[in-house]
Formats: sequence, C-alpha cells, structure tokens
Amino acid sequence: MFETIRRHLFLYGSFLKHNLKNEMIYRSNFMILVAMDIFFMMVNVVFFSIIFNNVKTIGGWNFYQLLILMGSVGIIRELAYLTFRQGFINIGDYIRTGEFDLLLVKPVSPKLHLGFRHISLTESLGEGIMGIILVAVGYAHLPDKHLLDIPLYLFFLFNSLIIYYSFCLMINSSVFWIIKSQELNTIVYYFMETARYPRDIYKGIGKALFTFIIPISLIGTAPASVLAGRSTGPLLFLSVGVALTLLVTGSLIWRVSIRHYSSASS
Amino acid sequence: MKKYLTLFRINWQNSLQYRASTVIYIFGYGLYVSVLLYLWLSVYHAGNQMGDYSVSDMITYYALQMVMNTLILSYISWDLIDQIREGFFSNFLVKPLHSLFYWFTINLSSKILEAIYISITGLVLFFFLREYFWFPRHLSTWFYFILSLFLLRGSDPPARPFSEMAAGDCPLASFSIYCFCPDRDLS
Repeated sequence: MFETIRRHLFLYGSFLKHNLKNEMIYRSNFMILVAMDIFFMMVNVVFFSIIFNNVKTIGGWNFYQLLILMGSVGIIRELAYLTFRQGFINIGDYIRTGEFDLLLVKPVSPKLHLGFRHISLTESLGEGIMGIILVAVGYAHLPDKHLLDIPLYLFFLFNSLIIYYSFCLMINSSVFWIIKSQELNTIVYYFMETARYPRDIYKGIGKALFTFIIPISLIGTAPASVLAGRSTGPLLFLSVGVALTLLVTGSLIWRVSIRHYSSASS
Repeated sequence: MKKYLTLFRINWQNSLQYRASTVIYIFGYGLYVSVLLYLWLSVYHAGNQMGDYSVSDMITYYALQMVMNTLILSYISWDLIDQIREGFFSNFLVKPLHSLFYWFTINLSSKILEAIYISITGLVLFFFLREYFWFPRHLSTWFYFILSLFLLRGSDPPARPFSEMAAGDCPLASFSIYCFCPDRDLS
C-alpha cells in the first residue's frame, strides 16, 4: 500500500518537474497565461460589483461571501489542473490516434497516467493566485470567524475536487464512443464558470439537476459556505455523499467505457 | 466555385460524423444558459432591478447571446494554430485555394449544422420561458439586428486570438442584442 503511494508520488513529482520545464521554455506565453487568468477573474469581480450596486444579496449571499465563492472555484480549478484536468482535455486525441494503447500497457492505471502526464502548474495559475487573494479578502471582511473554519474549508475544497474529478470522469467516458472530446471539455469549462453562483439561486428540478447530475451547485458553494458562515449540516453531508456516489459511479462508468476502446489500427 | 462546394460537402460530412459531440455541446450550452437565467430570476424575484432592464429584457438578452455565440464564434483559429505549430500549414499553401474562402467555407458548413441544433435547444428554452421572451414589433429593428449580426461576422477574422470570448463582451454583439429590448425598439 505505502509502496504504491510512494511510487505514484514519485511519478507525480517526475511529471510535474518535466511539464514545468516544458511550460517555462515559452516564458512570454507563461506570463500571458497568468495575466489573462487574473484579468478574467477581475472581470468576474467587476461583474458582481455591478450587480451588487443594484442588489444587496444574491440568493442570500453578500458581496464578500461571493468573493469567497469565486475565489474557491479559482482554487479548485488550479488544483484540478495540478492533478487531472489537462489529461481529460487531451483524451480525445489519445483515442483518435490510437495512442491510448500505450497507456493501457503501462504498469499504472490509465486514468492516473493520463492525468499525471499532463499536469500543469501554469494553465490556471493566475486563477489559483487570484482565488487565494479573493478568499482572503472576503474572509477578512466577515464578522464571525471560528478556529475550525480553515481546516473544514480545506477538507471541503478536497471534497469538491473529488466531485469535479468524478464529473470529468463520467463526461469523458463517453469519448470512447464519440471520439471527439473538445466540445465535451468546453461544456465542462462552461459548467465550472457557473459554479461561482451560489446554490441558493436554484429552485425545483434545476436544483436536483445541478446537484446530482451536473453537480456544479455544490463544487463552489459547499467549501465557500464554511468560510462564509452559511454552512448547514445537510449541505455538508449532501456534498460528501454526492462526492462519494459520483466517484463510485464515475469509476464504474469509466471501467465499462474503456472496454469499448478499439484502438486506431486495422 | 466547384472546389469550394466540394470543400463545403466534405466538412459537412465531417461535422455529421462527430455529430454526437456537437449535439452534447449545444445541449450543454443550453443548460449553461439556463444557469444564468436562474441567476437573473433569483435577482429579479427578490424584488431587485438591474438598471432599466426588466426581467424580460435580461432573459431575452441571454437567450440571444446563446444563439449569437453559437452562430458567430469561430474556433478555426485553434485549428490554424495547430497547423502552423505542426508544420501542416505548408501543405495548405501549395493548394489552389484562397485561404480566406477556404476557412469561410469550412466555417459556414459547421455553422449551418450548428444553427439547426441550436434551433432545437432554443425552442426548448422558449417553451419553458415563453412568458419572459420579448420580440421586436418593428421590421426596422429586425433589419438592424440582422445587419449588426453580419457586421459582427465580418469583424471576426480567422486568427482572432480571443475568439472564444462571449458575444456579450463585444460592443457590436451588445448592439445586436440592444436592438431587441422592448423599450429600445428601433422604429
């Protein structure tokens, strides 16, 4: 068990080091990527500032609580790029060209290998940095703070990362049938854009849809609610329950889907 | 002309081959827009108002943005980037095709197919939100709207790096949508 973890950590470290060197070759590209992420996060802050000039709360969340929510989504996105996201973006190319064969014969799980091989520190670094700043600013402006807030927040950030991973796993399992993954991952990107809106805006069937099928209403709201002082027992339990259920379901779907891979050669 | 028609047909067939991913994309984009509608309904149902925009204005704005994003935005810049990086662009240079017409034809065939898909998504959204939608009464408003759409299309060169930006971010796109709002009906 420990040997397996140690081996995977070693693999992760090696890929991170290698990919970081690759990304740093194009320095101007690296700087533009970070600056653009920061710019777009600022655009979102301005967007909400404009709304809050006309309203006091959105779904019961005030401006500083929403800063925490926006920042949390930025941090989750960066964590995703540091673990699995870029691999899923590239999966269509692997399947279309038959390169997925190489992943299947390696002595490591294909989905882990796929994720690790493309880990990227810089792809969403600006969002991660801005995310931490927004969370810090939002939290500093809130009146009630508790000792357990930060460890609990970190736990639910990790929980949201699992939800995000499982969702990507389920969506990208369909690539074994439909081959192209670009559109699927654009949709995942759009959904993550909406994770920065509080869960309280949803009503009726939309609330169920965006909780259990497309879990974007939990990814940002669950961790942010802990720091924002809006967490409730049912919400947190629901978040953990959805993460576990989606992880199991996603892994099963992936296992079934991978059997439909038929390589690219004749 | 014949070679461009052939190109159109080939790309049309290519788009049809990967139709599942396009259908999922359009359906997912419809869901994305529905989240934005939830946001605005939540704001307006709490008794708030954004400037002089009514809830109908706002919903119509976002629904139009969905249609325009699908019809106007082009992702061929990404293909072009890949071709240049991987060296395949040299093959293109020796072909008897004008680059602008080539990319226009490729884009046109994909967009016509996408227009068919987006109409279905639009009809579903319209069915659920019909009480919020508003359509211009004057023919001139439709004229200005369509004209601005064409101007917008013309302002989108193949290698525009920010082509994935939302149509709402672009002044011309905002003008197109502006034409539609009831209090601003251009008569």
